[in-house]
Amino acid sequence: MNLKLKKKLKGDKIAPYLMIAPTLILLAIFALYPVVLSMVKSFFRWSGGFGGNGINQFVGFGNYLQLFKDPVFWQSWGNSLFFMVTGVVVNLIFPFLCGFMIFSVKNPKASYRWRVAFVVPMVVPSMVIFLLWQFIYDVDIGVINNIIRIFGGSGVDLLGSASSVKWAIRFMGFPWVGGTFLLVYIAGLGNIDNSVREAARIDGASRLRQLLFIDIPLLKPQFKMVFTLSVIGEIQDFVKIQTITGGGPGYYSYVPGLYMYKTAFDSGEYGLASAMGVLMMLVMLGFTYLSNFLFKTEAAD
Amino acid sequence: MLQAYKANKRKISAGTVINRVMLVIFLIFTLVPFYVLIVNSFKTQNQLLGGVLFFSYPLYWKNYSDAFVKMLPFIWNSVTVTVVSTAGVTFLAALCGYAFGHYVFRGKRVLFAAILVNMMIPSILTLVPSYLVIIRLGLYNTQFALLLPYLAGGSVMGIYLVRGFVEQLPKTVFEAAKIDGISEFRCFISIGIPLLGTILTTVSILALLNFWNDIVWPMLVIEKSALKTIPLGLLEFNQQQGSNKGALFAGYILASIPLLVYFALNMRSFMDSLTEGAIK
Repeated sequence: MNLKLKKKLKGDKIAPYLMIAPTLILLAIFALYPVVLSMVKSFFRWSGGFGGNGINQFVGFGNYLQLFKDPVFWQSWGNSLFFMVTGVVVNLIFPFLCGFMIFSVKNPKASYRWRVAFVVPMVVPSMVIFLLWQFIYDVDIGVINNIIRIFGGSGVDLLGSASSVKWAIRFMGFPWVGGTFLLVYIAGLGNIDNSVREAARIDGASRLRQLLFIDIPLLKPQFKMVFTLSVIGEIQDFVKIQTITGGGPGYYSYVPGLYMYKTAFDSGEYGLASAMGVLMMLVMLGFTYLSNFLFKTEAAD
Repeated sequence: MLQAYKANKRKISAGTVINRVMLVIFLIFTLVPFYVLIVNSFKTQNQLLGGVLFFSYPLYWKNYSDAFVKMLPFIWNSVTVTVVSTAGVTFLAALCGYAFGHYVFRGKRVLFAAILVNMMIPSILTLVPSYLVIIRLGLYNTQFALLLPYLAGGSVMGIYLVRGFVEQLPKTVFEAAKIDGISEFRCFISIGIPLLGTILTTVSILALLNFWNDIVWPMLVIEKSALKTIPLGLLEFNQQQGSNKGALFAGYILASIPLLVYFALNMRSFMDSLTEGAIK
């Protein structure tokens, strides 16, 4: 009896495996296997067939060498670097400022209402946002050109000219405050022990000085997270660009993700596209390490 | 003392004024695109060519009925795919997270690592091969091409959250039931799930937002118009509707309504879940 009870308490030996199995099988097929496939096939010229269909030829580092010699590939990384740098700057400043101001609203009900107001836009499908901005920039009937014409100017094609296209894409979503980063900052500010601020206040520190010497230094983990997520997000986010410019004019808004997409699905060069994916992953890993180095925290978190 | 505090509270400082003014400015600029959207959704093409900054009368309501006919199937597809995959992900995450948090078994650490490693793999790396796997399995242009990968990838974060939650539950709750001879699975369903309520709400809301908003994956595996979800439908509508932008804008609004309604009804848990998802 006692033994039986013990066995019962330990649980059916196979129960946990049965509970995990469905997820693990799905992950193996749709996530883990594709990762391995991607890494292996980045060393092949591959037309995407399985089991000996089509081209499947080992080329060593051939794909990688081809990419390093490809000027379009370099240009796409140059553009991507622009989006990363400006994206990081924007995300470190604007949502933080907005979050700080919402946090400073003392009445909890009002503070909550402000948060809701800035989160609502997140609920709108991002495709709607992309297409709306495309309309805002439209040469003929767009919002910006409507305003310019009211003041007697002539139409400008912000998305169609090489000098402005990247800035126009960056400007989408201005003032960049509605979203998860805002919530990250507000949560971080809420975690700071109020007694620290109280002590500073008694010592006569102004709100601005408190912000500079208490809040900002103590938010290091949040800034680090926003930095890393911004970089990773910018590297991967090509759909926005594909939707509103298709990478043009020329290659002036081309990014690696878009290049990979086209290499795979327009040209059918799946091996080359896999190599691009692997390189993008390596760059992301590099930036994650860089962020650990840039935002070194004394205590492990 | 209390009087003095209240008086102090009522006094509005310069800092407060600056603070509110800045917040209002931020909000106005954030809402500009939506203002443009609403204003122009009530215009005929001719009214639109006359200017896009303000309302022009009479309001052209027909845009909405035109857009409704066009968008309804896409909205329906998005709702079904999102609801089914969110329910599935929540169940799988609960099941799997419960198993990892509740039991001690051989290979637990390795298996957990095999699941968690997926959080670190960028989706861009797997895009191409995952597409080929779908082709290979003959799932291209079917709803399973969306559902199965969503179930796989969507549950990883949830498993992590649920496991952390289960580990903090007192074991004694379950022991009593097991002495009564309830099976492991029954124990999970009737004791585990009710206790997991709050964390499962978070898991489901985060999953729901991801699936609802996904563009890249459906773009790769769905070509048939009848199966398209909202983002793809919007693109298709956008290409067809060049000559009548007003109806297109009405379509954008209709496409946004389902999730807005859901948000309005579940605001508290939505806000909490987003915060939790953001900081984990």
